[in-house]
Amino acid sequence: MSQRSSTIAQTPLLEWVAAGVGLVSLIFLLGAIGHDALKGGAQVPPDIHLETRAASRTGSGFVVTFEAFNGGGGTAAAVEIEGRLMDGDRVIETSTATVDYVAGHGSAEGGLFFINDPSTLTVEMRPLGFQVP
Amino acid sequence: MTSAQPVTSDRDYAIGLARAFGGAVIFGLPLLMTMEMWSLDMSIHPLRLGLFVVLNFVVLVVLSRFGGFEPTSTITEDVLDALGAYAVGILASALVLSLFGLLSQKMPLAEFAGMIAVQAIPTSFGAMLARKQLGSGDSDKTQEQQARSEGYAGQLFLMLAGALFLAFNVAPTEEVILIGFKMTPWHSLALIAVSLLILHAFVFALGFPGQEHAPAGYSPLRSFLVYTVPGYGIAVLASLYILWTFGRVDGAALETVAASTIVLAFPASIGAAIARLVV
Repeated sequence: MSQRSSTIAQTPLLEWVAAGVGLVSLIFLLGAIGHDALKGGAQVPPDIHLETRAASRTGSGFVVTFEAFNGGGGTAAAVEIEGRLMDGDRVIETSTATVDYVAGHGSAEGGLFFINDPSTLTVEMRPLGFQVP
Repeated sequence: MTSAQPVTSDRDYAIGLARAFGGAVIFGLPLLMTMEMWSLDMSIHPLRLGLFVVLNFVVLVVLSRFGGFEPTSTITEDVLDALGAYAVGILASALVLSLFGLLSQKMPLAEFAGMIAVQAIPTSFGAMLARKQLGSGDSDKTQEQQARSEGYAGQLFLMLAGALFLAFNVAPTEEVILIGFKMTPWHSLALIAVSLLILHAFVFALGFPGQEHAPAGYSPLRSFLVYTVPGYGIAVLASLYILWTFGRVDGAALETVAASTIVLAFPASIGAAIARLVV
């Protein structure tokens, strides 16, 4: 009786399947994390640019939603976004919002509330600053 | 068949997997529902995270030698079991995180992988322990596994696994650092003494099932020096390692590092003490 070979034969097929799924998922996770580490992307400072969407009416005024994209590899935390309603060179109204995290090469969404109707004015939005997480 | 090894069928293994899934969710939920864990992968250094994922795999293989979710006789089976536990842990994490609406298709791949990888550490650990916790208990632990976990090295390893698990459960939150700031040096010294006392009491004095019996002829002082002091040392090292992994020691003053390590070593030493009960 060969004990060794019978041990292999005893291993149920499902065990090999489960182990295979585990191996593939582990390699995927380590690969994705390792790729990120090798690229050294996290060292590139965050580069936030904003995409403004059309304003819509709320109960007490207006809201302008935005999506913040991070072109850099580093993650930005506590990203402060400032939006200004401009009538030519004159600032009519200023609002700010703080976004918790914008991952490196990722995006996050938010919105700014205004009392004046943004559709008749120019909306200027820019990121003010961030914190390294 | 002369071996005590029962033949495992696909059906038995499927039941084992289902239990493992239950264990993964039970042990993983506190961290799956911790906010800091969702963004942890963004602040943690990717190489340190990768190292932790690999180290956790090694711990799982050794845990499988001592218990695991099905009886094993060869190291190949232990590796298969550890991979199986990781598969369950990763799937359970991905499932729960997506149910909570925390995973989105717009996420960069590295963030997606990192988020699941940090959660897969406690869930895969839970999957591995599920057999002991949710199965029929000690009776299906083989004599050999029993013997393996009773050697001195085996006991120290179990302490390490318990310390890592409990410390990991506590470490992601801001509180560890905050408590360290609140404590005076006297508080720290008192906490070290209490940690040692609890570790010693849990291992030797309180009648928990699976508790140690000091080898015959060992005085209380000798068992304190041979088991409790190394156990606390392991808890301190595990805590320091986890703080380093989470980037909590970078740029911190020595006193701050010492204070947070002592704070984290408190749950870690309880984890080390109760490891015998859960593994």
